[in-house]
Amino acid sequence: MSESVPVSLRLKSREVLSRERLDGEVVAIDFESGDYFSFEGPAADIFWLLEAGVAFFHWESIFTSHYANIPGPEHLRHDLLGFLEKLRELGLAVEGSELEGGALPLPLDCERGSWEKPEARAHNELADLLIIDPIHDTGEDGWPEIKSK
Amino acid sequence: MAGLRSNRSRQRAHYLAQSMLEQSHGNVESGIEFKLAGTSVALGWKLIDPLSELIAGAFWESHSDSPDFRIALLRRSDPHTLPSLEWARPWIDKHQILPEQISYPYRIMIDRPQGLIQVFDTVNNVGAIYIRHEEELDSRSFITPFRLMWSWLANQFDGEIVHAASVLIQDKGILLSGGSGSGKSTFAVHAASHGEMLIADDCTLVHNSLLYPVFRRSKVSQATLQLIGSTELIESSTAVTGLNGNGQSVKSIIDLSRSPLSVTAGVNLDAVLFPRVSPSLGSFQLTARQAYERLTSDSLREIHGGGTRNRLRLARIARSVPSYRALLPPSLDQGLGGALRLVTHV
Repeated sequence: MSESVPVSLRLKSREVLSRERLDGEVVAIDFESGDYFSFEGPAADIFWLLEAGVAFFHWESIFTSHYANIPGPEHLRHDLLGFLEKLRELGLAVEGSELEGGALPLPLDCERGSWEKPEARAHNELADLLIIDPIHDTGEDGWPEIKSK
Repeated sequence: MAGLRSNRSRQRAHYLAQSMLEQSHGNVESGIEFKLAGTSVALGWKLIDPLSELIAGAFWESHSDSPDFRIALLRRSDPHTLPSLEWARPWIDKHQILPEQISYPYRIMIDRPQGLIQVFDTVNNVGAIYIRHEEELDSRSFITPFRLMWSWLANQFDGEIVHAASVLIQDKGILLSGGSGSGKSTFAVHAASHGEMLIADDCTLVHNSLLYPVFRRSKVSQATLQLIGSTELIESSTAVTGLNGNGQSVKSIIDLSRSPLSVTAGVNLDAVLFPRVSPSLGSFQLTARQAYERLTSDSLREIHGGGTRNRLRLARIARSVPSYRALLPPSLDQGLGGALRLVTHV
């Protein structure tokens, strides 16, 4: 994988993008849209590396040491950058400073098999509950509460 | 530099977790097993004393050949060496759970006011609880010990422990949610003394739309007992003021294991009531959003803000069953009657 690929995406802050990893699955809630997401396998691990700020330069060797049947460098880079673009489109990641962190091992919390194209599963059936909505937030009695600015 | 600091904190957090787990489980000489919904938990300790007996008495004891979770207590009197916690000061000072990006796959809470450190390994399903001085524990701990740890365990099987009482009224499973003083426990205990079934007080585990008790004991004030006018359910009238005898209000203990039916198998959730003491009797249905907000504001506070999955499960509860604001008059009989009429429409 080329060392010259600059990746400067960062996950949104935890205040607006709550996320939690368990048994190799990341579940995230975007409080601005009310959507929630599930990421497994390589997608969850990309979340992990983004969170830790690991430089993109290290990603190929990290994935190669954890997954079987890793595609060739160009194909792998295509998968990774395509997923990062997807995160940007979904509004989960934003531009920040370039990732420069050192290599970190992936958590040993799941069985990893063959490489699969990373994907995001989005859900919105709870959006009306999860979204931050200062207009309709209610007080103790169930009446709309006037928010001070 | 921030990344370097994060890496160092990660190493120290992992060392703390591994050290506590190793020392606490190496010390276990006694303990109990209990059910948490369909799973079994082995809770072990070295020292048998009044505190361990109080903790043991808080659960519905059961036996399993291979427990799903193993938790061990580490006490001041046990031989142990804890690493320095100076690196964790930012989270200790803010009374926060250590952030996942530092602690994962462990969950770590260092609770300075209570003198507790709770550590849970989410991969191997083992945990440790360090108790600095039993005298520092809040008296609530004798009834609902280590609430956060059980929430972490429930999270492993997609269960949610809600700060709520629960009752079976006319074959309907009702979750009674609300902060302290809302009347939920008073109402639940009153219903139980009038032939309905008390499932849980203070902490109810919701899993697959079923309600389960977490603890087998309830604690009620003398004022509540006088309101209810019944002492049949009381296991012990021994005053509970805390081991430190610091003048906390006197409470009596109700043993839920005396319930006529076993509730540990789970009771279907049919509705959520948010009681509130009011001059007059009444009720109105809440939107799912209103119910979700109330559930999160009350239940997540108890687990230091909770996590992503906690919020999702509470949203699903709010979406899955109707929720009502129940205005309960000071007259408990009138309140129970109103709730019974409400339940018939659920």
